[in-house]
Amino acid sequence: MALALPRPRAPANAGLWLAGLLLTAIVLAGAFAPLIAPHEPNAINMLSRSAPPVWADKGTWAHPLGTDNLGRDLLSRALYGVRTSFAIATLGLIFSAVLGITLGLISGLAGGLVDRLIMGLVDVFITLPNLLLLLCGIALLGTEIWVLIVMIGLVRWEAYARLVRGQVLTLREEPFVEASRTLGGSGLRVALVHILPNLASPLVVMLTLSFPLVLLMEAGLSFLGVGVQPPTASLGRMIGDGRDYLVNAWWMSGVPSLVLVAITLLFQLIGDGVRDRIDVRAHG
Amino acid sequence: MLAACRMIAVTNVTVSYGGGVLRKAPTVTALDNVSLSVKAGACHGLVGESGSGKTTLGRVLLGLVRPDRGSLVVGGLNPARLSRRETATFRRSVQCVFQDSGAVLNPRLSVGRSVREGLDIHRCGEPAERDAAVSRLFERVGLSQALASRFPHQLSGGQRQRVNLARALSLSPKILVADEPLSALDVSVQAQILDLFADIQRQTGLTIILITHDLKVAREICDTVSVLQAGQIVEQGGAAEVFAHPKHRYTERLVKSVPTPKFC
Amino acid sequence: MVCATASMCVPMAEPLITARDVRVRFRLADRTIEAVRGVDITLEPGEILGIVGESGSGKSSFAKAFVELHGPPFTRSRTLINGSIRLATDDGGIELVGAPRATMRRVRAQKIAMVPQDALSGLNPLIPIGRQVAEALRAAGSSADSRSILALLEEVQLRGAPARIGAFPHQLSGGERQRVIIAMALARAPKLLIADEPTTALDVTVQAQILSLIERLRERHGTAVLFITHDLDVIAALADRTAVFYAGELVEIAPTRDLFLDPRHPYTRALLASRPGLAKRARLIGTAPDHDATPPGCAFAPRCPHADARCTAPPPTVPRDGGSARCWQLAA
Repeated sequence: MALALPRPRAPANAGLWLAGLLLTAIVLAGAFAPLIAPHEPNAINMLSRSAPPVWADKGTWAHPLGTDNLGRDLLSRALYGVRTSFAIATLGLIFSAVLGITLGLISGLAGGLVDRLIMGLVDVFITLPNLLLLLCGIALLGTEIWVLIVMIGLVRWEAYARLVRGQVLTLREEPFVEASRTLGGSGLRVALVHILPNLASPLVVMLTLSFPLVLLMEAGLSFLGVGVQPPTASLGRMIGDGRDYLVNAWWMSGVPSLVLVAITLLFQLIGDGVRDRIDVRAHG
Repeated sequence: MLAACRMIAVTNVTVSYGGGVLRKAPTVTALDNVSLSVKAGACHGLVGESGSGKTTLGRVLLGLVRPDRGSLVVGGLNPARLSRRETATFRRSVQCVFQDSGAVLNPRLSVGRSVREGLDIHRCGEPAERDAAVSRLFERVGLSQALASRFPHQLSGGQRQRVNLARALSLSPKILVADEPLSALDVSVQAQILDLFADIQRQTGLTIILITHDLKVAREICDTVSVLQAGQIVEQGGAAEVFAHPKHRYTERLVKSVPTPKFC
Repeated sequence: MVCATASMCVPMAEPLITARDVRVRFRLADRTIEAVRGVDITLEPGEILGIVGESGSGKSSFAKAFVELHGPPFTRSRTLINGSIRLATDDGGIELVGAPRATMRRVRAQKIAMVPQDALSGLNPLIPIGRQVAEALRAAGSSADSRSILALLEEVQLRGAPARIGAFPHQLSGGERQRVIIAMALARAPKLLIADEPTTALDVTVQAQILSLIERLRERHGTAVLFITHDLDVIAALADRTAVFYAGELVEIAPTRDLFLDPRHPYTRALLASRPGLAKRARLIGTAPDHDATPPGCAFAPRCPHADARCTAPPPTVPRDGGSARCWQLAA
C-alpha cells in the first residue's frame, strides 16, 4: 500500500550514466598511462619547447595538447599526472575513512569517557587549520608520497568520525535495534547487522563528495611545491610549473587545470546523483 | 503452587526518569508503586492515556527499563538482575510487538531475514532448518511465503504487523508484550490482527500483556485489566467487570469518553 | 427527536456544497494515480457529514480538493482535480474546481476552514497563539483587537485563556492546540469546517471534549462540518449523515442512524461488523486495492462474499432511504 511518492528531483539517469562513463574513461586512461601515452612523460626535448596544442596556430599532431617549457609532451604528462593524483587521493581517502569510521563507531557505541576523549580529539582537529597541519607534517617528515597520504588522511578523518558517531547515536535508538536487543542480539551483532549497513548510504555519499576535495588538497600542496616532487608529473605540480608562462604558453597550466576541473565536476555530479538514488526506501 | 501458575509478579515497582548528577533536572515519576500479577495463559490489558506509564510498565517487563525500587518476576526470572545464562533464557521467553510496525523492522533486511534473526541469535537448529521454520511462521501468521524476500517498505501495515508477530513467535516465548499493536492499522485490518492474537493465544497458551488506549479492544481480548493514570494503577480486575462497573472515578471518565452513537 | 438529517430541517434550501463527479489524480515520477474516482455529494448548510474509509480510500484527498490543500509532495502542478464543486454563497455561488488563485485564497480565508489531524503542524512554533488567532481574524477582514482574540479563545474553552494569549504552541497540550486551531477557524466565521481526523492523535477523554466543542459550534453558528475519520464510533456519535469511501469511490451514503442500523452495501456491512468489541465480530479478508491496481467494475468485488459475474461492470447507484448505495446486489 505504501504510496511511492514522487522524488524531489527527477532521476537524472542519463546524466549520471554519462558522468560515470566519462570519469571511468579518465581513470582508465590514467591507470593505463604507460600503454597509451604517446611520449615518455619526463623526456626533455629542447627542440620542441613550448609547442602549442594542435588546434592553435603552429600546433602539430606530434604533441596534441602541446609541450611545456622543457619540451615535455603535455598529454603524456597529464595522463601520468591523473595517475599520481588519483593514487594519492584514493589512498589518502581510504586512510582517513578507515581511521574516521573506526573511531566514530567506537565513540558512538562505547559512549562515556572513550566517547568524550575521541570527540575532544575531533574538536582539536577541527580547530587546527588544515593547511598549517599539512605543512607542519611535511616539514617534519619530508615530501615522500606516503607522508602526503598519511597527512591527507589525518586532516580529513574527523569528518567521518563525526558523521559515523552521529548516525550511530541515532540508529542506536531506532526501534528495530531495540527489537533485535529484545530477541537477545549481542552488541557486536547490533553493530554489524543493524548499524553498519544503515551507515552505508550516508558514507558512500560523503566519500564520493569528498574525493574531489582530497584531490584538490593534493593539487594545492603540489602547486605550492611541497607535494609531489619533480620530475614526477602530478596535476597540481603541472599547474604550478606553468604559472610563470601563463602569458606566452597558457596551455602549460591550462591543460592540467581543465583536467582537474573536469574530474572535480564529474565527482560532484555523481555524488549528487548517488545521494538521490541510494536510499532503498525510495524505490518501490 | 500459587507461585507456579503466576507468570508475572510485579510488586511495588517505581521508575523515575531525569535528575542528572551534574545538572539538576526535575525527576519525572513514570511508575509509582505499581503492583501487578498475571496468571500463565491469561491476557492482561494495561489501559490508560498518554503519559499514564503503561508503556514504561511494558518496557520494565521486557527488561528494557530497570526499576528504581520494587521486585519483579517475569517468567520465573528477574529481568533487572540476570546472569549471562539467564539473559539468553529471558530473551527467548519474553517477546514484544510494537505499535509502529515499520520502524521495528530493519529497512535493509528482507522481512524473512528479520524473522530469522532470533533463530540465528539463539542458534536454533541447523541453518537450513531455520528457513523451513521461517516458512512455517509465515504460514502461521497468515502471510504468503513469497513475501519473505520483500523489504519492510514493500508491505502494508497489516502485513508488517504479521511479520512482527512471526518474529516474536519465532522463539516460542512464554510471554508476549504487545504495545498498541493495532493503533496504526485500519479497522478491517485491526479485526484481522485481533483475531490472529486470539487464535495464537488459544493454540499456544501464551501469556499476553496488551498495552492499549482502546477500551473496546481491551474488553474484547483481555481477561483482566489494569487501568493506569499518571504512573499509578487506579483499578484492577476482570475486564468485563471493570468496564461495566468502574469503581474508580478515572475509569468511569474513561468509559464515558468512548463515543456513543447519537441514535441509541 | 434528534434532527437526523439537516435536509429534513431545512427542506428546500440550496445545498451549501454540490460536488459532481469529483476526480483527484496525483502525478508521480513515473505514473499517475487516481485517488478519488468520481464522487457525487451534497452538503446542506449546518450539516455534519461524516466521511469514513480506510487509509488510501481517498476520503482526505476528496475533502482537500475543496480548498486545493493537498500536502507535499503533491504540489498544485502535481495534483489534477476534475469535476465540479459548487459552493453556494449569497451572491450566486463559486465553482471551486479550477478557481483562480485569488478566489481560492478568499474562499480559504472566509468560507472554508480546515482543522488538520496534527495541530502542531497547523501552528507556527515561533509565534504566540494570540498573534496567530489575530492573523486569522485579519485574513477574514475582521478587527484583531485583544477583546475579539480572547472571545474566540474563550469560545473554544481554552483553560486560563487570558493568561495564555502569549503562550507558544509547544507550551500547550495536544487538545489545547486543537482548540486554538478551531478558534482560528472560527475567526473566519466559515460556512464550512473541514475536519481531517482532528481527534485521531488525542486521548479519548480529550477527544470527547473536542467532539462536543464541534457539536456546540455547529449549533451556535450553523457551520456545516465535513468530518473525516477512520473511527466509526466517532462518526456514530457526531455525524448527521455518513458517507463511506472505498478505493476512491463513494460506496454508500445515508443518515447515520440508518447507515449504522441498516447498512446496505456489503463493504459498509463488513466494516461495521469488524469493529472491535462486538459480540459477534466478522472478519473482512484481504486489503483494499492499490491505487494502480484497482479492479475494473466494483472495486470491492475481490473481497466481497456476494460478488458475481455482474460485478466486473461499474455498479449502479441504487437509492435507499435518505441516501444511496452503489452495488449490483441492490439493483436486483
